[in-house]
Amino acid sequence: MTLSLRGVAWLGLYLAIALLPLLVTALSRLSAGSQGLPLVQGLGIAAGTLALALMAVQFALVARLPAASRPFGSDALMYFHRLMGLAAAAFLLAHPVLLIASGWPAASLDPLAGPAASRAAAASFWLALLLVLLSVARRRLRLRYEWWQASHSLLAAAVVLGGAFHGMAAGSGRLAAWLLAAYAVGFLALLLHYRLWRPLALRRRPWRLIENRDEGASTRTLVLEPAGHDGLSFEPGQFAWLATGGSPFGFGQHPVSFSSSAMQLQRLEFSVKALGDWSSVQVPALEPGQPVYVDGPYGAFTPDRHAADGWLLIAGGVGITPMRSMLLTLRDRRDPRPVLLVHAAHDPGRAIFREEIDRLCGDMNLSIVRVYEAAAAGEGVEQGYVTQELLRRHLPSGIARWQCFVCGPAPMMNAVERALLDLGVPAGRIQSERFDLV
Amino acid sequence: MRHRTLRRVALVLSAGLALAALGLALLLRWPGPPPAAVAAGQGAAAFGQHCARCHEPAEVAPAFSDAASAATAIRLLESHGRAPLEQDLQIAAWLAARGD
Repeated sequence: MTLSLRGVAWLGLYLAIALLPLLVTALSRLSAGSQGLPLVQGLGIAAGTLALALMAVQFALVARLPAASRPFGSDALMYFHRLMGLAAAAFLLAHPVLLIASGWPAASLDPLAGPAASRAAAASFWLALLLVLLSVARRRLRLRYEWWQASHSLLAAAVVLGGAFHGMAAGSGRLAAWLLAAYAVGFLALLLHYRLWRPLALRRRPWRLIENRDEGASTRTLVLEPAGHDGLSFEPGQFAWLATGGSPFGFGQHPVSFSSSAMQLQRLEFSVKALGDWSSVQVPALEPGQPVYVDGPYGAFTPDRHAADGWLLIAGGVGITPMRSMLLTLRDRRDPRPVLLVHAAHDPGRAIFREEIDRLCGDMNLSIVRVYEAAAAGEGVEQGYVTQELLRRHLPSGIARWQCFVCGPAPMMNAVERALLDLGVPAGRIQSERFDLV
Repeated sequence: MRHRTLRRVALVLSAGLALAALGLALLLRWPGPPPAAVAAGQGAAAFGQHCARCHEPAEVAPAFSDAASAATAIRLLESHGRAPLEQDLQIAAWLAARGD
């Protein structure tokens, strides 16, 4: 099966899992002797059923299941998880609002009153709202990423299990109760895979830090070698989750792009810019010899999955790291196709890997355009930003048959994607990767 | 680009799910069928247990062929024989469904 077909199949499965409880509720309610319900009350029940099904299936999107993430790329799944999480929150919010509007007592939202199922429902509702709030406003609340990850996992488990208990007791029939129980069991199985099985597998394949190199511009490169195993294969442009705290079981795991050549299986490099607590404080303090656990590879941001006459790489800031991996890999493979790198940075001092990439021009068919906000224009150097006008001057005539890779700050990526579309690059030939989600 | 596509997919999907919720709510407005209709499949067994010794199905089924006569026949069933009311209703539903 092709990757696109697999993608459609996974989307169909997602939709089926989301809709199945709705269908079963309909069948159960249509059974003998059931009373007709007012429209608003029926909508409230339907909204709650949908919210629960969506929340249960959300975890599958980010549980790092290789078969599910391969067709889409993990960053896309995480983004979809976020979008559908918001949709689930909207359905969840509508559930009590509609039920109360149809005559249910508002006191049913009190998590400390009523029978156990009612208390579970109310607690699940408030915890779900807390979960959404913490995700949407993590930065404003200055919540550390590791704490957010831990709270997100725990809250999600409480919400789904409490919601399933409420749904089973709500009386939509035996079949609906069994189905919700199956959803809860499925959720727990995924949790077990994510928090126990996967870390156990990682613990059997540790890596050792052999160098922690300062690249300048607040960026460090971690160089790893396998400790007692034969390494890891990946595609250039992909990323892995790094656990540097000495254990693969902790909550502090961070997505970082491979920055080394994919032809080197036993020497991995990851370049990390100081942007948060982990990258600013913990990464610089890592000492050679320390164990690091590498969960990957993930992601679909890679030239290996596309046919192309050439490669256009547009990088802003630390977005150069996956491009470095692509360039080194193309060089090591002696790929004869042309590569145009547009590398944007504030100034030459902050353009990491600049000299190393310049040297690659002698080894492969590579052209480079540097774009600096704060430096004078010159040969191969533009002053300002990556605009449509700048791209028009530098793109080759056959660009519609090239593949374009864009990685950098979100505003730059938005502008560059629009510019490429306006310049006639087909949407299917523009690849981008975004991780700045929470 | 994938993110723009994903936003559209999520929007369409959410709208579709909201429509499905509305569909369910509309469906829930209708009461379910009366219990006897569901139990009609069990009517044959109940007929065999309580009626077959003295009656043929074809002989009594016409009495259940329309709603007015069925109501009379059900009242007759209630006061006739030893079957509990639930089985009387199952028998009536089964006979009406035969269409003799």
